[in-house]
Amino acid sequence: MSQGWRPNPRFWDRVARVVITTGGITLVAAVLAILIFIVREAAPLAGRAKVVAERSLPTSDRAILAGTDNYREIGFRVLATETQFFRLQDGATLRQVPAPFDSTAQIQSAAHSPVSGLLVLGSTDGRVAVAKVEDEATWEQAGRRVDVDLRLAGIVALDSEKRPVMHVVGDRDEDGAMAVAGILAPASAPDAVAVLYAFAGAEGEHATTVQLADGLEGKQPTALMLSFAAGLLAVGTSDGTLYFWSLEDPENPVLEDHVNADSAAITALQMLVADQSLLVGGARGEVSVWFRVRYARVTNSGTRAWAVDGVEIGPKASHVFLDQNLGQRLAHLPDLRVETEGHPWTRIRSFHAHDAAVISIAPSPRVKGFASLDATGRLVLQQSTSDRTLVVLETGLENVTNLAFAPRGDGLVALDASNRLHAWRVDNPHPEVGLQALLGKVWYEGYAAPEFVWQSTGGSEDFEPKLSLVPLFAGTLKGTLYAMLFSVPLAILGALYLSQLASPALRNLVKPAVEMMSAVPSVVVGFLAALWLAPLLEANLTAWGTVALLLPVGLAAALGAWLLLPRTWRMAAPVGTELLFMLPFLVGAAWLGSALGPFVERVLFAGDLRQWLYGTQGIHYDQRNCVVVGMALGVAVIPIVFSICEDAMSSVPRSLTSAALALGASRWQTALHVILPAASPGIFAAVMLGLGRAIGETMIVLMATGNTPILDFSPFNGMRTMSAAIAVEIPEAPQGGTLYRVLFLTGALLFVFTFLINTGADLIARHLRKRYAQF
Amino acid sequence: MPSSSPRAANASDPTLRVTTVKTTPLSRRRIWGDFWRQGLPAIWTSGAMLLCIVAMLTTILVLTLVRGLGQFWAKPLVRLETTNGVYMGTVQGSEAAGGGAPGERTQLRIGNRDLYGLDFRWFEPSDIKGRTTPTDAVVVERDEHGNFHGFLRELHLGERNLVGDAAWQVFAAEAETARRVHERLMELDARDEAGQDVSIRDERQRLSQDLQGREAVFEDAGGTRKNIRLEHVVRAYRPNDMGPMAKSRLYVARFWEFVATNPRESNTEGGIFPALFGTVLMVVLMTLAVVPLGVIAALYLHEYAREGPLLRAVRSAVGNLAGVPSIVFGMFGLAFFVYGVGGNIDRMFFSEALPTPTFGTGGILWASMTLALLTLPVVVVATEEGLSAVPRASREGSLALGATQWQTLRHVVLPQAVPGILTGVILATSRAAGEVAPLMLTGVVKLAPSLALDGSAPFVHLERKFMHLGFHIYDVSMQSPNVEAAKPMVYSTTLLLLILVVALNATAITVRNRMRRRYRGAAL
Repeated sequence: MSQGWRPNPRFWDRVARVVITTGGITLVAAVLAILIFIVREAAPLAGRAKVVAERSLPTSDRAILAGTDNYREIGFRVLATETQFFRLQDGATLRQVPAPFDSTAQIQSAAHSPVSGLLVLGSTDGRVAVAKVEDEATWEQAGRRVDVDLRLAGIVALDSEKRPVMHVVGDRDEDGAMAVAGILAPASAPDAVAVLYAFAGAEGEHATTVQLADGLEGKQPTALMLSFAAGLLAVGTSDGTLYFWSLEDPENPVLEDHVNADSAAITALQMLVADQSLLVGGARGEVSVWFRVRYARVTNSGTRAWAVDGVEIGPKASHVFLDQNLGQRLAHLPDLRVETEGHPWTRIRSFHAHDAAVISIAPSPRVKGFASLDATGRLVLQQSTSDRTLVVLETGLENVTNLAFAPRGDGLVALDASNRLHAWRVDNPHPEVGLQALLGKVWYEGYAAPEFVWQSTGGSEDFEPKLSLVPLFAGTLKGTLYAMLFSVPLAILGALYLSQLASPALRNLVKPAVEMMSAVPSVVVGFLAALWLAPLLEANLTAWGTVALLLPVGLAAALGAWLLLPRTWRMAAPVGTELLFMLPFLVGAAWLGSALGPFVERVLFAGDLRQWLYGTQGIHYDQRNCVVVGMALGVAVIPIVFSICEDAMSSVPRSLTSAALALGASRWQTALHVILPAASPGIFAAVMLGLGRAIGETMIVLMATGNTPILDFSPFNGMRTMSAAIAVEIPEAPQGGTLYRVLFLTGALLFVFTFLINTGADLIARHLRKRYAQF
Repeated sequence: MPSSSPRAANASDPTLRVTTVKTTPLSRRRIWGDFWRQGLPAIWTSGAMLLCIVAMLTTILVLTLVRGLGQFWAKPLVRLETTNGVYMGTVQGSEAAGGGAPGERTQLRIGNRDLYGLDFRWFEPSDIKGRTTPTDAVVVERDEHGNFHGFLRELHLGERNLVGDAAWQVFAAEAETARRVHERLMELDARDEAGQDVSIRDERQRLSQDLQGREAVFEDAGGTRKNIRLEHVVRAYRPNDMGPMAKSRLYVARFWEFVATNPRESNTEGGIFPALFGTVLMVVLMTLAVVPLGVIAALYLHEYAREGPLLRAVRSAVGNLAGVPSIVFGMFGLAFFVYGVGGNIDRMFFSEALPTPTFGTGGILWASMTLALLTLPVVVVATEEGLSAVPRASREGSLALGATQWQTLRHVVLPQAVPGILTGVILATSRAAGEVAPLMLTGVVKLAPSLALDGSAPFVHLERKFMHLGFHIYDVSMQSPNVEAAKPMVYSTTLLLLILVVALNATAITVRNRMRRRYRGAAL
């Protein structure tokens, strides 16, 4: 014991083995789990939306309409005589608000918007009340307490003949002006219907009542929609015709247009959130989405034919296009005149998930989606812009009268004819994303045509994220392409020269220098590219062009001059003299080119190349463009390609080159026919590694491009790459949100691309090593 | 294939050979034969390509060196009398006059942002009536609004008023005193924000009254008067009246200010000490994490794991992780460390502070951990390389003497592998020092209110956000409101970062080469 306890070395050996083995395996597994983790963050995008039935409550009387508060705690239902608020959990009545009309009149019809909370009630005697459902949550010790109330905004007398209002719609602006419309039918003759519109100014004074039936050409009105924000009053009829009244001036609605929207009767009309898209449900089960689209007429007043978006317009001819920014795009062509051809409501897409008449459509208050219910009780949840049918649920309910979303879009309620109220929970976290939305062209509201758009955040509340990955792919591809075009020839030829044709002294100097270049942080390269190279290039664009053209000339001149030297001198010159010899010629050519630049610009391009490019070619010059990015990324890529190529070329066994030289081949013949083929797998691996670096490079593209996500392969535009999008947007993206997950998807793709490329390069390099091991 | 085709044709077609010999004079034929056979155009083109690469490298180095070091040298102040007023500033650049007029137009950095609103101004040659460099022109570096260019007219020091040269004699010393008083006052303010402490109230009052009276009256080139409180003056000098020695002294002082003080004017002036400190601390933390992990992983892969296809695949996968874009590691760091681990720590230990996150937001710890992951492959690969370079004989000798595997590792293999490990660590630190993209997601900020290491307990604040040289470059050059005025600072920061990274790399390469040389000897 006095010696102390000394453990057996074998014990320590075992401890070390266990510790290192477990530690090593854990570490390697953890490192390799990175990809799994990133994919896991993106995975919920692929999850399906869910609609789960929650409860079904009996109502005492025939209810006309139902809805819920923000927290889905309290529901309300409109009965003939009153509006009831009740606890959704057990149906206990909390508050009753009597019908705002006097005692004889009852409520006949109602409409409610979960976005604005506006509740519009039509009476049995031709009047319409506009009220607002207000809920207020207070946070107390015991938890949340929600107070609900109905506040009456005003009553508008719609019909002087006091017919009952069978369908009612209405809207109210911030000032308090109200517009209402209704389909009215006398109880005695239900077929003799009238459609009336009324507007009441902000002070409550009664302004106008308009008979709309004249415009309907005697057709039977079946559905109505009114929105101040869209400036629209839409009326659907029993033969599927849709009539649009413009409410630009709400006191004088103007019949603007009518179209055949459906082959059967129109049964439901709603606006998607933000009031830009109209949803039209028909008796055959079709739901179509409509919004306004701009058209433009392009007239050719010149003498030659022009092609616009693939359509040839001859002299004195004209053609109508969807107006995709045509005025600006064709501004540089004086022959073509662009005039607007209006912006009519246009059918954008339609959904066919129903087999029976659509009874009710409930637009989601949060996203550009909606739920619809048909006569057989099929409940369908759809997303308009991504063109996806998210959920199809056979509820088995028949004769449903009304379907409504909860204000947060997380629940649905419906009323059926047997006076039961049904509630569903809606779990729909990422409706905007689908294969079509990520990779396909999508026709977004306010756009002239389907497009690939990446625009993840917007200024306004009801902005819809547009998450097409195609512009990011294109940007990455574009940056990589220009970088590789610039760097691969430089790196391979430079490495060939250095490894085979240069003196060893130069090699010992240049090789470590270029390797050091790979250590230059990309933020430094990005900074120099953005704030030094880009302005320099912009200011002297023509000079750069002339220099690029004159450098080969200078090289040829140097070579010519070299050949004029006496042969004995040339033979006696040490290896690598040509570099020193050509240097003054190249410098001279560069100087001459930069001096000639302004002259060439004056003569050929009217003094301003950028103006000339835009004026005659329609090419817009961005200061931070592909040329800049190509050169900057090139600086990052060249050291990698160069260094690996050089290694591959130098490690071609001496026996091969010696044999070639002994057979009388020149240095160049040996390089071309022996070194290059032998090193080709290594060169390929080098290019792949360079490619991997260019694809994933972040800071350079972040700084040296304008970061605009556009689809354009012009060398004078910027781009936004996948990596730059991640760097810019993920700090702002809420954790777990759609954008966050889409960016993780992008990251996972980047990971997979680069990992595969690197692994490929690695395999090739291994193969190469094995192949030359025999020499 | 210009070099081979004539020969091939000659061999297959004897008649052609005869005609060739007959019609071409010998000397010319030899020249052109040489020309194609030797592939001169191709050789010269590849040589030119190499020159291009070298030129690019040189441009980067020279550009950052010249611009990064040049900005600390005091430039002369030029006073221009023009048709639209008199301005004084340092010459920033010149270009051909606008509208094809003869001569060159000049760009001055006119300073006095508080008076003119802009920093730079172009002057056409036709507008310039006179150009002088007055010896009494003063550059005042200030706390705010950038530099002031003008002439010192009066100096108010409480009761005393000094005018002209007498004022300039004492100006520097008085400004220094005022600054010290100001600093003391700030310190007192910080100690007692509410103004409750009676014991220091008197001193505070006395100091602020003392500062009230200390003011200098300057006049700009156009004669506009401007009062500048002395405590706002960082430094003042007369560049047109300075010899090379004085300028050198100023150069050193300004360079020291750049390296050792805090930034001013939203990072566009002053120093970058917090960024330098943040970079170094982050790299140190990262090294502390990556070295044990990397060595254990490499030891396992190289010494304990059984060779086989699986191990080869794992090894190549770990190596290839080095090529995965750093931004992807940044995302992982954000999701795993910040939101995952950090969020859980907050819920467990800092729940009273929620919803304000403590560790559940970016911080220097998470940034270092992320970079440790990013550089782990580098360390693993380099360590493995070091381990395989240990000669078999040493190992077997140790084992033959009866040592256990661990004893062999501990006393024979690891000591010899140290250079390899070191190379990996240095390469890792150099990569980490220059990396910016992952930091942007895991805790770097443009301006950190306090360092992660300070005098208040517990001294190390790993949850704090930090500044970083690379991010400083990105932020100031891309997101500062006045990029043009901030450019000199960015060049200097760039230079500093470049020196840091290149020095680390050069060390790594030297260590590696020395190691290779040593083992080449051992193998023989």
